[in-house]
Amino acid sequence: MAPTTDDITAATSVGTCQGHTRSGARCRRRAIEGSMFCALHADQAQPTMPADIDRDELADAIADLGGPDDNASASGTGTGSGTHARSAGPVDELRQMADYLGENVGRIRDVAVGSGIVDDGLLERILADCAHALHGLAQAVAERVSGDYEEDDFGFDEAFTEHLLPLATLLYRYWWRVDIEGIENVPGTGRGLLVSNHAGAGMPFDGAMIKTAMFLEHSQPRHVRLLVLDWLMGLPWLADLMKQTGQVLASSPNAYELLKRDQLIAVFPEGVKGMAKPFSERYNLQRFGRGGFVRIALRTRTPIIPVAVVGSEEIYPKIANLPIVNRLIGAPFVPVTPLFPLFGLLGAIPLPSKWNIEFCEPIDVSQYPPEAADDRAFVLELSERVRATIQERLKANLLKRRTPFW
Amino acid sequence: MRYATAVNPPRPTSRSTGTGAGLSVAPPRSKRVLITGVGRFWGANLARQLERDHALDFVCGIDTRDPLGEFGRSEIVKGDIRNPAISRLINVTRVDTVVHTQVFGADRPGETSRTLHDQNVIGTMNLLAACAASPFVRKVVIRSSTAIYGASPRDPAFFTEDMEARAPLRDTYSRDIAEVETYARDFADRAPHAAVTILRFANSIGEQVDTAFTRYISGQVVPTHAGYNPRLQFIQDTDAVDALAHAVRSWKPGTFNVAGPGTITLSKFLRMAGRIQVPLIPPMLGPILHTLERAGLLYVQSRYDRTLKFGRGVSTDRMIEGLGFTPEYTTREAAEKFAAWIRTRRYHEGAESHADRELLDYVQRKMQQMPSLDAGLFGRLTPRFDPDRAGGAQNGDDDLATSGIATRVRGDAGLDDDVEDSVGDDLGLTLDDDDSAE
Repeated sequence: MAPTTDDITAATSVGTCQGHTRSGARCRRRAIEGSMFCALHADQAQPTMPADIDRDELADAIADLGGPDDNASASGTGTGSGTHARSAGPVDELRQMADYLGENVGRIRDVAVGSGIVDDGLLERILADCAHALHGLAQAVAERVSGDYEEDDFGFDEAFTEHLLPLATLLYRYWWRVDIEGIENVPGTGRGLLVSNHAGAGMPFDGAMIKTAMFLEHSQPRHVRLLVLDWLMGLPWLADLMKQTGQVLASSPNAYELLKRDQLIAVFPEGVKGMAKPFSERYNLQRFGRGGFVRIALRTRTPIIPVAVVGSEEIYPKIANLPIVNRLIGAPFVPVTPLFPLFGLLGAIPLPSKWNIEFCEPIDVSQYPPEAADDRAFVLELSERVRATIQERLKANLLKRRTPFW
Repeated sequence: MRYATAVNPPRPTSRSTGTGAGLSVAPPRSKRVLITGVGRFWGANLARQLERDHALDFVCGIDTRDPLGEFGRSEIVKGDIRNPAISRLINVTRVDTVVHTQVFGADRPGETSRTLHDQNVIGTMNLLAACAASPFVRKVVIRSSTAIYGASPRDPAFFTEDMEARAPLRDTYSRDIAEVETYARDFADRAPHAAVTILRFANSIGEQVDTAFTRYISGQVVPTHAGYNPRLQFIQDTDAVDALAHAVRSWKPGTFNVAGPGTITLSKFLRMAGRIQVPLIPPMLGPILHTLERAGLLYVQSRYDRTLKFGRGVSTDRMIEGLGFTPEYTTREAAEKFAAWIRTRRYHEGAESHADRELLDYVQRKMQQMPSLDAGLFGRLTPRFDPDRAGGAQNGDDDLATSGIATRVRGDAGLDDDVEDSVGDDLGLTLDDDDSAE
């Protein structure tokens, strides 16, 4: 079908179209000025090789260059692109972006320091951490979009969580500047039950910070599985995000199931009562449920580690409730803070208080028989002991803090 | 205590299964089996498996639908278990074991949950009444469903058999299941000499089984709830049949979840299968599914609505320890196998010769090993549901009106069929794919 070189030279002088009609016959229309085809058959035009180029020499030259395929893989830098170099979709673009950011984390720091813009180490570190966070975010999204991820029976995606961790690290290091005490009290392997005070008007930031601390500060970084309020687990998107990052609904069968798999779980026995307490009640622990967590620990022989979180009470200082709104949306409560809902979504930004998280001495329950779980009085007594420990540590750590904000 | 009714939460360290305890004499072995629901995958394949077992003297199948596929020595009866004459059938044949698989949700055009409610609930009631009246019946196996646990955001990650639904059951099918189990318990109380095994099955998936659910998740475009990614649990179709057969061959009274261990999220499965997921905002999915149902394009019933939002996982510990049954495939493996099959399905349907099928089996195995293979090439055809191939429920109703109980459909067919079947098994092939796929 393609016209030969001879045909073309002949036709250019004559000026008829070189194309073929649908029936296969030669087109008899006049060619467009400067072309060898008429308007109808312009798409049949094929690039022709000028006569003075030797095809073999050209092939050699191309071979020396390494060919188009090699070029593509050379530009696809970084780790993640290897398996996906075949097709370039949005996911691959995202992967490339993630890798690019990852590579440049160190360079950003070098440039910032070398150029003298930053001589203080803090800004430099913030920049590097921001780049890390973006890198992680891009990777997390790329994995989700491509479907190239693994999850456990609870929907927990370990890699996804680790990609999002740098984001939480920004909050952890620079917004709340969390201090840690006694992290070595948490077992590095095997089951464990963290019991913490709860605050923060609906958003489980204290849980997020405990998770982050375990990953950043512990000698054997591990994931904490938080047991979350049922209302949150019914919310679209948020519930999914929480499941992907390892949270499960707070119910005792789930706690048993996780401990059976030797996981480290965290519970907030105060529950909604802790989250919803007004500012005047700050750092006063509420009733610890009905001691369910103690029963679980006794039956599964899990060490209980009390955790005292200072700082979470000031992020959303609650002054009132909005009962009508909360009934409308079915939430357990809707808080009013000095900034929310007055300033809308901006008012929902948590205040940058100064945090301190203390992991207390573990309570070894293996000295008690598992049947002790059926002794209601004993369970409540042990539950009260945990509560007293946390309350005492909260008071002590509050005194150590100079002001609520630094 | 034959029924494990302990309300205590599960104890990870040690747990009594509460089954078969306190039995002083060896439990009677099943010799003659009556299987309901041979018009669908589970009953039909159970009958085919049991008729090859020479420890059994007699296998009888009954359904209002046309029997599914070919049978060997099984006596296949077309009749209605709602008819009191079922009692006569049980007494005449002197069956000692009744496997009740005929509890179905609506998943064919022309079936509605209301007509099926009648068959499910009244049928079960009548069948169990007949069993109670018979001096021979020693064992009853019920095919129940994990739908009995409902689906809600307050669900535990894994339901154990002692737990109940956290929210009221909304759709007819789950309520049917709950009623069926109530009748089964009632029968267990009234006939203490008989063992009642209730198997709560997760959704069956596989090449052979065809339900509204398998059609939904293998559709080319799959509408889902935006913002919800449910955890699902599956049982491989062959495992489901094996579980029923296991219950027939052993003496395990009690209630057991039957599912592949583990869970898989819907979006992960759709990724593996190369389906296109279309997330719709929550209030829209229900009406859209309903419209598609009405238009005859998609037969996923709104009964899956809540499951597709909140998902469901069941504990399989009691199945493995108490029932003593371990499925060949975990949920994840079953999903991988099914996903690989969906991707190559259009080629399976076109495969004519033996060589073609062997090649496709090979391709399928390869795809299973490499689930990340681009689906674009293979997964592009949604099979249309063919009403001609599916046994309609209406025919059965007509039959009931005219005949006393039953029309005999097939009798003994000799050994040839057995040989053919086992040859097919050895080759790892499904020779009459089209017929057995409903």
